[in-house]
Amino acid sequence: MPATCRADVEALLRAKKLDRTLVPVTGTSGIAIAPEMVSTGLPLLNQQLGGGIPMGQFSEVVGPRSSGRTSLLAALLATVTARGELAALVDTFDVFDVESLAAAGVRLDRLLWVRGEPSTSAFPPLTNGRRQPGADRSIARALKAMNLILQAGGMSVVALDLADAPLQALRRIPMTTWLRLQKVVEGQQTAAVVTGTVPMSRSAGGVTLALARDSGLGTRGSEDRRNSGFGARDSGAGAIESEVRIQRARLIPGMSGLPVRLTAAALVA
Amino acid sequence: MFACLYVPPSPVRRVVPAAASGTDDARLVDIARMVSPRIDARSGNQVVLDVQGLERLVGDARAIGERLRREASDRGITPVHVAIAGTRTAAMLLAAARAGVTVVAPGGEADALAPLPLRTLAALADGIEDRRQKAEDRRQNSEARRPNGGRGFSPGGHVEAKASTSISDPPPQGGTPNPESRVPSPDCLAVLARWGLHTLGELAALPPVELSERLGQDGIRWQRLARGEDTGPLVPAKEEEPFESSLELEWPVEDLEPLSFVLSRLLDPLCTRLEYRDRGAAALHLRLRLVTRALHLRSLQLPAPMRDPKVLRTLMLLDLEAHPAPAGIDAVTVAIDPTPGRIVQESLLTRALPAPELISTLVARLQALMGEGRCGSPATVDSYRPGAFTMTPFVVHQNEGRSQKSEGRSQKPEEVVRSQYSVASRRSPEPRELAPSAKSLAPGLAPSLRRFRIPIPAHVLIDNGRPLSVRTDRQALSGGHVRTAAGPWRTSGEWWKTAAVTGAAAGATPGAGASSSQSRRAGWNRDEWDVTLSDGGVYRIFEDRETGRWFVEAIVD
Repeated sequence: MPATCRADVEALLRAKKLDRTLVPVTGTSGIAIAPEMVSTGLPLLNQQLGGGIPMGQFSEVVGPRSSGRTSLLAALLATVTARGELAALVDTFDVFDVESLAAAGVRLDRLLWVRGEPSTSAFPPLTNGRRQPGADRSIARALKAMNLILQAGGMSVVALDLADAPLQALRRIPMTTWLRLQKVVEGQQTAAVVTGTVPMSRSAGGVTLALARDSGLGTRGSEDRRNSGFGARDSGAGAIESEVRIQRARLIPGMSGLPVRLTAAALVA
Repeated sequence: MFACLYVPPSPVRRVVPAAASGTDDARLVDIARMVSPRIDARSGNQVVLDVQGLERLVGDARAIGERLRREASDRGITPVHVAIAGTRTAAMLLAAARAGVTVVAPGGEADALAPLPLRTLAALADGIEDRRQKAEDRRQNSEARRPNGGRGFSPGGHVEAKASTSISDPPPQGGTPNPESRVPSPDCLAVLARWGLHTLGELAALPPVELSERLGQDGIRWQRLARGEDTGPLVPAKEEEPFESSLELEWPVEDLEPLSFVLSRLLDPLCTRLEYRDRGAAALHLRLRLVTRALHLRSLQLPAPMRDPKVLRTLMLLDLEAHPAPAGIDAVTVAIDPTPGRIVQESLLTRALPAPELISTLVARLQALMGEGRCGSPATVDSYRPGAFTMTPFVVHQNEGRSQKSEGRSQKPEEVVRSQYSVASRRSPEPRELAPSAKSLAPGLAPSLRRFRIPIPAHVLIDNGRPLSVRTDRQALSGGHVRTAAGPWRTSGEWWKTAAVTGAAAGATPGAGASSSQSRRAGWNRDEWDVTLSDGGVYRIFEDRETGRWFVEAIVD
């Protein structure tokens, strides 16, 4: 789109006071206020994100299973709670491991944990067929819970975990649901984060962190540790390496957009 | 004119239990309040009241005294001494010294007190110290009696009442030290006796200058007391104001929506009164009288003092939604345990935390949506059981942000990563070094597990002691061939515990031995593996060594 047309569109949006979701770009007229950011706790990732995950927006952490989504979310929660701020986690299928959260550095007393139904609704028996009413019900409750938490406010990060939700169930969520939630979080000092397998809910000012798994467990020197006996898990017994790609609605000058490599090593004993 | 009710200590009364003596305090106060609104409960066995102006209502001074004695006798308080005089001091001394009803005309206090022995002054010393001790005892007893409280009805459902104050506890009387408490000690009385002084009249007749030279200002004070002179005005005790309101309904109410209007009508004036007295609600008690004549009782312990009627109404409605009344409601009673309002000092440098009222309402709504016990803060437990945790109430501490913010800032990312490993090394106390290849990459994450609360049964092919493939009968978790595997790690524990279960449930929980249909071991004994499957996922699986069955416990993500 030519720059003049874009400037006209942006001017029209500002006139109608619909410009709150515009990402500030250099050269625009008017006063641009950069959104506040929530640090992810990972300096390299923060650098690529321009400070962190933007507040007042819906962002996503997506990727396949075992790509590091949960670990990245735990690191974000740890950073926020360590600052004395509050965070909320809507655990749709009640899968989060408390020991893992504690090991990641999350201050558990500052975390509001909302547990949904057990994970059997996300992994029903094969004989159940395609329809999974349990998953739909769990997702609906989780969305309501997130709505309540966002409306109440006061949290620095509100995370919704849909990583184990069946793809069909996610596709049945109306688009208006995400728009309504985005309207609720708009203007708040809260970063909303959704974890999932595919992008589905990012707002215009949010970011999508797409994780891709490079390798699985035990690709680095684990040959010597096979059949290591009945001992405690050692550091380096295996590692999960992932690559994080950042997707935005707009290109931010100065942000190279290069992928960031993350390593999740030393499994929790 | 002042009257004093005095219950003398006696050997018979010593066998009365402490609870009964506490009741006597309240009964004396009640008797006094029937006659006059200005009373001073001096101690557990002495009450002083202002009876000025009661002549037209009750009669002359003797009639007033007889009425007080009769009321006390009707309530089982015998013997009781009643004295009426122009000053409080004279009334107290005469009541302590003389049985029955004693009436002294104003102006004749000194003459009436003159023949009384000096030790009578000790009756005035029962005031402050005994009163404070008894107030503290009452407060401790009221806390021990909770959750029944002192309201006359017992709360039902979940009751965690621990109100900081109780309406049934009369407050300590007298905020300032009473000079009358400084009466002669037994040693002083012995000195006075050696001087040849035995009665109040002899003490009152001494020249003040010489008395002050020998005994100081205390001597002058004692002399004034011996003459029956008051050293200060009567400080009336404030009557305890119950924060309770009731409403009888014209027709029974069954739904929450009409009940919300009733609760608003009851809570609005109560909250206004709380605001006037700078109080907040520490606990809410709701008593619903049903059409079946039964009582439906609910109590809510609030995390912080609140007085917003909308918030209190919302919390009550959410609680009733989870614990509905079994029948229509005829009458509604709301009672509030008051507590001093909280003072919050916000910081300009840290983000303001949400108010406790907001958090309480949010948690109540979430619990109504997700279920009881599904919302709160997680907490680890001191156990080696895999996945052990507990839920604690989510409470916001207002002053935490300021003190903790500097902690977060001072920690560098590398230190954060290192601390993660130190936390993770619960089972390996030696500090662990990062693998060299990991240091060359971006700062790492502590890998997290996505744990199945009920592990999923799996079919595992084993070759030479190592898993070859893992399959399950679950959608989206079909499994695959094992690409890489790490393990096994043997873990076991709580072998000494047993859990009594029915036959159908025995052995349903994997990892626990199913030794009999009546009871099963509550411990675990397993070999764990971390495997990467051909579907790309990394899983934690384990073999229950008791049953030989395999399960998928978690996904590493």
